[in-house]
Amino acid sequence: MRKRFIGLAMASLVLASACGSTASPAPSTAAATTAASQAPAASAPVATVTLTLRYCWGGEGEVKAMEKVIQAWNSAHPEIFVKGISGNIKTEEVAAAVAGGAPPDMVIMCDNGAIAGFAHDKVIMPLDDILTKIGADMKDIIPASLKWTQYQGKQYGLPFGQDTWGLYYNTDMFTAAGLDPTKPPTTPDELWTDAKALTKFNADGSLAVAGFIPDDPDRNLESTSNLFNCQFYDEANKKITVNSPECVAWFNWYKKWYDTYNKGNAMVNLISTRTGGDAGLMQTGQLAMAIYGEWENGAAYLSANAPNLKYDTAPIPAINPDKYGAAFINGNAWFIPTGSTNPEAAAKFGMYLMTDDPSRTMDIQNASVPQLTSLLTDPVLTAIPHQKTFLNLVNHKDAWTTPMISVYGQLKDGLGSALSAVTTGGADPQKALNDLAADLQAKLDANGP
Amino acid sequence: MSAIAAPRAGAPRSQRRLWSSRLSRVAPMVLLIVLAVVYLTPFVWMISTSLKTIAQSIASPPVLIPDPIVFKPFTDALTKMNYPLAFRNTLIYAVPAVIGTVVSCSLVAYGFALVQWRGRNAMFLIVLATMMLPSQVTLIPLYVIYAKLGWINTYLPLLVPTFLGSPFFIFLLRQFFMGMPKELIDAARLDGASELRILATIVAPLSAPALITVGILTFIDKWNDFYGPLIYLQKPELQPLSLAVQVFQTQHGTDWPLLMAASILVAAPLVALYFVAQRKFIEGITLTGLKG
Amino acid sequence: MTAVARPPGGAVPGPVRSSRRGRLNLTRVERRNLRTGLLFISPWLVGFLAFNLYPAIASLYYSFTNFKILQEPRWVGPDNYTALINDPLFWKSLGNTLYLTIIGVPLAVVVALGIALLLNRKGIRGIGIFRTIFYLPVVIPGVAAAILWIFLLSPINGLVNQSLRVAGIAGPGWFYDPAWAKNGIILMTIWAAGDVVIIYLGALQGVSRALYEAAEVDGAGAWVKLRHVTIPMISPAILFNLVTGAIAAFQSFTQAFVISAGVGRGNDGSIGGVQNSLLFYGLNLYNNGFRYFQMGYASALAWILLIIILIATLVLLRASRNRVYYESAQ
Repeated sequence: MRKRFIGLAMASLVLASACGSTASPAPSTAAATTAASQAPAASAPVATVTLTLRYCWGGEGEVKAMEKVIQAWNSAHPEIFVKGISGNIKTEEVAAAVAGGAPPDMVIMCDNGAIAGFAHDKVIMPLDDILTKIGADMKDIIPASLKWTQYQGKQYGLPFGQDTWGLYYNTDMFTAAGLDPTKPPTTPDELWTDAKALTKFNADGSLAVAGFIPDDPDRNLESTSNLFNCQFYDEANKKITVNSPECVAWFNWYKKWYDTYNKGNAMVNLISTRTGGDAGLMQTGQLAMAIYGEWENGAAYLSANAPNLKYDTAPIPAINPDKYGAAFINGNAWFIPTGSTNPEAAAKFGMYLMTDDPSRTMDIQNASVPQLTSLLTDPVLTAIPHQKTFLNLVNHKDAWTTPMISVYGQLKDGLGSALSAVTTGGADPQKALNDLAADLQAKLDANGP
Repeated sequence: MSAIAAPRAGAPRSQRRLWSSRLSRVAPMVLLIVLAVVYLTPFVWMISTSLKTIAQSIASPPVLIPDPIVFKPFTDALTKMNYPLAFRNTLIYAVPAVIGTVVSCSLVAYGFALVQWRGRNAMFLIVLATMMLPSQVTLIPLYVIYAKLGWINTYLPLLVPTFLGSPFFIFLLRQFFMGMPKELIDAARLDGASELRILATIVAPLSAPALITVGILTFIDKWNDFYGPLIYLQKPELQPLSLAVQVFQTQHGTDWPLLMAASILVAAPLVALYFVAQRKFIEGITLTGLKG
Repeated sequence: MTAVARPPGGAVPGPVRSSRRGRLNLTRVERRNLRTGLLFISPWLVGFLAFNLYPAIASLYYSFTNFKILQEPRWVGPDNYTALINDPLFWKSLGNTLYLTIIGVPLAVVVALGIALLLNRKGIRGIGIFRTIFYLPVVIPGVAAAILWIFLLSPINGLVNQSLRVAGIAGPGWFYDPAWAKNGIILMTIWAAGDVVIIYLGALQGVSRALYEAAEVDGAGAWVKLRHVTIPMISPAILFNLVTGAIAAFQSFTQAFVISAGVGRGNDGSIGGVQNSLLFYGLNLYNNGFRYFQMGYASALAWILLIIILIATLVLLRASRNRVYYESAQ
C-alpha cells in the first residue's frame, strides 16, 4: 500500500517483518468459534483466545463496573479471555491503530459520531456475516437502536447503553407560577406560554430565572429537529435537506427565543454562569425547564448535586401530537476494527454484552437507557425515579437516530455554527441553511454517502 | 534609615539622587509583587477548588474560600490514581529524555553554530521546517512506522526521538552557542583541540544556564505530555501521571475538586524541581574566561 | 590573524593554496568542515530520515489524494487545494490564527522580557519564590489551566470581570463574545509564557558584567544600558522566542479545543467557539482530519500552513539579520 515509500526510510524500517501484519482475521484455534450458541461450553476448555477490548470509560466507577462485566465473562468463558483497556478514546487513536495494522480486537466508543465515517473508510468491519455465523440472537435489541449503528443497510456495531433526551422541569416553580406540575407542555406553543410565566427578570434586565433555554448545554439539535418535522437527510434521494421549510421554521424557533429573551445578552450571560455540569442552571434554581440527556436523572447527577430540587420529566414538545413521545437516540456502541485478530470471538463477547446483566450493570453505572427490550420492564431500572419517561422514549415506534452518512461530522458542526450565527450573530436562517445544504451536498456527492 | 520622602523643592542634588535611586529599587519590586499576585490568581482558585466539597465546587455564584475545608480530594486522588506507579512510569521516560535531549541537541547545535560548512544554513532551515508541519497529519504515518518497528505499547516512541535531537532545543542552543566568544574557540582550535573537545570543555560549561534550561524544559514537557502517551501507551500498567488524572472524569461529568487536587499532585514535583534548579542556574554560576 | 596550517573547523581567511577542488568544488578545508559539520548533526539527520521524512512526504502525497485510512488513496490532483481556497472556514481559521500570532506573540515576548528583567536581579529576598511563581503556569496540565481560565474569564462570575466591575468597567463577554474570545486566549498565552521567561533568564545570565561596567563608566543610566547592552546581547534569544512563538501560535490548537468544549457550546455543537471565533487553523485541521475523515484535505491544509510559517520565519530571520548580534559570527 504505502510500499512505494520504503526506499526513503532507514533499513530498520524494512517492512519485511510487517508484510504479514495487516490482518485478515486469523482462524481462531480449535473449536471455540464453531459453537453456535452462547451457552457456556460444555466440552473441555480449549486453547485460550485473548481479546483486547478497548473501552471508552476512564472514570473510577465506570472502570470498576466494566471490569466487573469483563470478569463475569472471563469466569464463564475460559476459552476466550478478554483484557480490558480503559480510558477516553479519540478517533485518531483508533484510526492510527487500524492504519498501523495491530488495532485492539474490539472497541467500545462513547462517541457515536465516528461510526459512519469509520464504516465509510472501512476502518471497522461489517458484522452481519459474523453475527450470522455465531448464531447471534438479535431479537431482544430495540429495533430503533440498531439503526444508529448501521451504515448503508449493514450492521457495523451494536449499541451498548443508549442516550436519549427529554424535557426536565422544576415542579416547585410550576406550582409557584400557577401551572399544573402534572401537565407539562406538549407542543412548542405551550412551551412558549409556560416559559413566559416561569421567567423572572432582575431589575437591571438580566435573567434571574429563565423559563427555558433551547440550546444549552448542547445545542440539542438532533433531539428536537424531528419534533419540528425537520429531516436532515433524504435517504432515498441521497439529498441533504437541512434547508427545507420545516427546518427553516425550526431554526426560527430558536431565533425567537433569543430575540425575546437575550436582550442585552441576558440569556448568554446566564448561560455563562453555569457550573456543575450540563444541568448546572437547573441545579442552582436559575432555569425552570430544559432539555437534558437521560443521565441527568442518574444518582450521580441531578439528585446528587441538587438534592432539594423537585423535578419531573416528560417527552420534548412536538408540533404533531402523534410524534409526541418519540425521541432521538444514540449512545455507546461496540464494533470490531479491521485487523482484529479474532472477529468471531469478539462478536461473541459483543453478544454477551447484549444480555441483561452486563447491560443493566453499565446502564446503572452510566445512568444510560438500555438497548434491550427486556430491560425496559426491568424492576431495577423502572424503580429509578423518573426513569420511566426515558424508557418509554427509547421504545417509541417513531424514535429516530443520527443520519449515518459520511459527512455526518460536517453536518453536526455545520448546524451548530449556523445556529450560533443565527441566534447571536443576526444571520438569516434561510440563507444560513441554504449555504449549509449546498456545502454538505457538494461534499456528500464528492465523498459518496 | 531615613524614610523615603520626596525631597523638598530646592533640596540639594544629593538628596534627590538618593530618593530617585531608592525609587528605582522600590518601583520594580512593587511591579513584581503586583504581577506575582496577578499570576497567582488562577492557582488560588485551583487550590481553593481542590479543598472543596463537590457541592461547593459547583456553587453559583462561586465561593472563594471553601467552607468546610476538606482534604479528602487529595487523599482520594492519591489512592485512586495509583500515584506511585504512575509517578514511576513518568520518570522512566522523562529522565532519559532529559539526558538524550541535552546531549544530542548540544552536538547538533554545535554543528550548526560553530562549524562553518557548506549548506549549513539551508540544512538549518530544514530543521526549523520540521517544527512547522502540524502533527495531526504526521500522526498516522508516524504511528505506522512505530507499529512496524513493534514499538507500540513501549516507551520507545517517547524516548528514541529525544536522543535524535529536538528542533526546538537545537534552535535554542544554536542561538546560545552563537553567542560564545569567538576568541576562546579560535584559540582552542589553534592549540589543535578537536571540535568535540571544544564542545565538552569550553562551550558546554559556558552554556550551563542554557543547558540547564533545556533540561528543565524537556523534563516538564515530558512530564505533562498527554497526547504521546495517549496514542502510544495502551496498557494501563504503563500509563504515566498525565493520563492518570482521567480517572476523575466520567462520561458526562467531572469531579472538580478531585481533578484539581490531582492536577496539583501532578504538578507539585515539577514546582519543587524548578525551585531548586532556578537557584542553581541563576545565582550560582561563576563565569570564567573572557566574561565577567 | 596569521595563517595557520589546516586548523579544523572555523573559517580561515587568507589564500588557500594547493587546493584541489573535488567534485563538489570544495577545497580540502571545506570538505573537512563539511564532514565535521555533518558528523555533529548526524543525530538529528538520522532522526529526520527515520521519523520525519517519510511522514512529511507521505502527508504531501496525501494532500493530492482523497486519503482513506486503509484503502489505496485516490489521486485527485489539486482538488484539495482548490477546495480550501473556496472554504470559508479555511479563511476564518486563518484570520483567527493570524490575529493570535500578530498580536499575541509580540505581546508575550515583550511581557516575558519585562518579567525576566525584573527577575534577574540579585539581592532581593525571596527572588527564588518569585521566579517560581512566574513559572508555575507552565507546569499545570493544559486541561486544568483551560478550565481555570474559563472560570476566570466568565463574564458574570469570573474574577477578572468582577475586579473590573469594582473599578467601574463593564467587562467583555470573553469566550462568550466572538469579538473578545481570542483576547482571552492571548491572556492565557501571556500568563503561561514562563518558558519564554526562563529562556530570557538564561540569556541574561550570559551577558558579561564587564560590558555593564564599561557602560556605567561612560555614564549610562538604566534605560541606556537596557537598550544598548542588554537587548543587543540577548538578541539571539529574542529572535528565538519570536520565531518559536510564531510557529507555536500558528499551530495553536489545544487551548481552543478544551475551551470550546468547556464553554459548553462545543460538545454537541461546533468545536470552534461562538461563531467560530476560536476556530484556529490547527483546530480546523484537526476537525477535517479526525472528525470529518478528510485526511487528504487536512494534509493540504497542513502543507499550506507549513508554507505560511516558512515564509513568516524567513521574513523574521531576514529582518533580524542586522539586528541580532552573534558574538561568534565573523
